[in-house]
This record gives sequence, structure tokens and C-alpha cells, in this order.
Amino acid sequence: MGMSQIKNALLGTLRAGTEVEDRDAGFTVRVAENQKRVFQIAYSVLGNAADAEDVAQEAFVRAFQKSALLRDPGKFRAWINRIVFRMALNRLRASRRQLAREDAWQAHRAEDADGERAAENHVMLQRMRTEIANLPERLRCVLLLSLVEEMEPSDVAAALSIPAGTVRSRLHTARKLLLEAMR
Amino acid sequence: MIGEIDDWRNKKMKTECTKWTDHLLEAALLPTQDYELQRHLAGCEDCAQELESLKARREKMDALLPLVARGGQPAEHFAARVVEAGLAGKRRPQARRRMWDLAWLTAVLALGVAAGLLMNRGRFMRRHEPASGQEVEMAEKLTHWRAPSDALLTFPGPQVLHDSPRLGETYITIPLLKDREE
Repeated sequence: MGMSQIKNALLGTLRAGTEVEDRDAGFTVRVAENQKRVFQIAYSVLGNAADAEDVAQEAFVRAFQKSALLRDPGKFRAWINRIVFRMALNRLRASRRQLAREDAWQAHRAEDADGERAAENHVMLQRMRTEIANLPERLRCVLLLSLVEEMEPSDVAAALSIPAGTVRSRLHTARKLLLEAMR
Repeated sequence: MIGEIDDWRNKKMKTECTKWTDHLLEAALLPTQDYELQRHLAGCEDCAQELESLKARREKMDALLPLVARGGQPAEHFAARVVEAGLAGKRRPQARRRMWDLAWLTAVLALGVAAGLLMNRGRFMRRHEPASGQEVEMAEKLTHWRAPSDALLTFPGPQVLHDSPRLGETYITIPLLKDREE
């Protein structure tokens, strides 16, 4: 091995260091750009801010650690959506404290309640959440993701790996069942 | 009697109206051109009221539904915490990888130095290297080599010269008598 190869190896190490710094900076930007939506996805599934923050943070860290697997950086948005949604669902399924979480969520909503109308809305919201939880999972997932800000049907489709047309039909069915249940 | 008939009519109507449930839900969710439903609604006050009720509920539902996902907000320093956690999680593997890089480079350098020494060992180590078999053989030959003049040392001549009487001496060895014997 000649000196030129050693030199190349040293340059490679330095270059790798620069790439790492770039990736770190990229991570910061991506967190800033996606944090709201990622948090909302977790919140829509889990129903309370503390758990949603936990899962959202975990999802970002996992995405960052596995960022080498993402060949197309342009697909980060769909990728992180899918990761956080799966993680939130897993946490929900694994948790035996779902009822307590519902209470926590209700308490959180109660903070916003102001007046008779707000109280009525609060009750309806509680009931709506219960009814959403009773929907078949394939419909519930589509509905919850569609409720998140900035989530177009194409985003939901990418997150769930289903066609956009299926997203629209499932969303319609979910809303119909929910409306019927809310009678 | 009239009351009983009205009850019967209402019951019959409700039974018949159940088949419109799905149509009513669809009409509440989306503008519809379901002419059969329109005809039914024109003659069925209950279903018309039900549709209005469903529409009102749907509006309320649509207004509240986003709160299911948007009701909570992340904490103020959420993003900073996430970045910190992400970089902390990455740092350990990075440090490990850099350590491996350094170890690899050290090994490469060590190999380079070793290769250099081996290639130049003639220059640095010739004095101390053991002699080859051919050289040993030549050295042994030199040890046993005799100059042509050395041949005289093994030739009987020198012994003859040695044993020959010197000038004035005889070949016949005559023991000399000691004074006492004389």
C-alpha cells in the first residue's frame, strides 16, 4: 500500500466527517419541517400529547439512525409518516393503559372547554373518539391520517402503502359509519 | 281507532323507511342526485327531518374531527429535544466508526513501515544477516586451501633437510661419550 493510498484513505475519512456534519444539519432541518405533522399523526392515534411526543421523538431518532436506508431523500416525508404511524399503532396495541390515556386526553380537552357550547363539543368529541376507536382498523387508520394537517390522500396512501383511490373510498365509508354511530 | 291507525301507519312507514337509511347517510355526506330518495323525501316528513338532522350532525362532526388529530400541541422545545436525542443516538456509532477508521489507518501505516523495512533490509541489515550455504562452502575451501609453496611443508624434502646432518656432521649417529666414561 503506497503513500497515495494512505493519503486517499485520510481524505476519505475527512470527507466522511464532512458528510456526517451535513447529515446532522439535514436532520435538524427535517425535524423543524416535519415535527408538527409527525406529532399530529402520533397524537391522532394515541390521543395524548405526552405519548405523542414520545413516539414522535422516537420516530425521528429511528429515521435519523436508518437514514442510510433511504435512497431518495425526497421521500423522507412519506417515510417518516409511515414510521411514526406504525410506531404509534404499536404503542397503542401494546399499551394496556388505553382507558387511562383516553381519560388523559379528555382532561386535556376539558382545559379548552369554555361555556355550554364548548362543553357540548367536548362531549361530542369524546364520543366521536370512542366511535373512531370502534371502527375497523383499515378504516380507522385512513380516517386518523386524513385528519392530520397537510396530509393529502396521496400522503395517506403512501403512509399506508395503498392506492389513493382506496384511501378516498375508505375515508368515505369511515365517515359514513361514524355519522351513523353518532346518531 | 283513528289513533291506532296512525300508529300502524307510523310503524309501517318506519319499517319501510329503514331501507332509506344508507341513502340518507350518503345524502348527508355528499350532494346527491338520487331521484328515488328525493321522491321519498317529498312524501316522508320523518325521513326529510332525519336528513336535515344528519346534515347538521355531519357539519358538527366535520368541524370537530380535526381536533382528534390537531387537539394537542408538541411542547415548546420539542424540536430541540428531538434533535439532541437524534444526534446523541448517532454520536456513539460515529465515535465507534471513527475509532475503527483510526485503527485501520494505524494498521495501514504499520504495514507500510514494515513493507519499507523489508524492501530495504539489504541496506540496513546486511552486516547481521547469516551467511548463505554457498558462502560457507567457499569459506571452508579457503580454509583448506594451500599456497603452492606450502606443498613443501608436507613434502618429505623438508624432513630430509631437517634430518640431514649439518655441515661437518655425519649421517652416522655416533653417541658421544661423556667425560666420565672417557
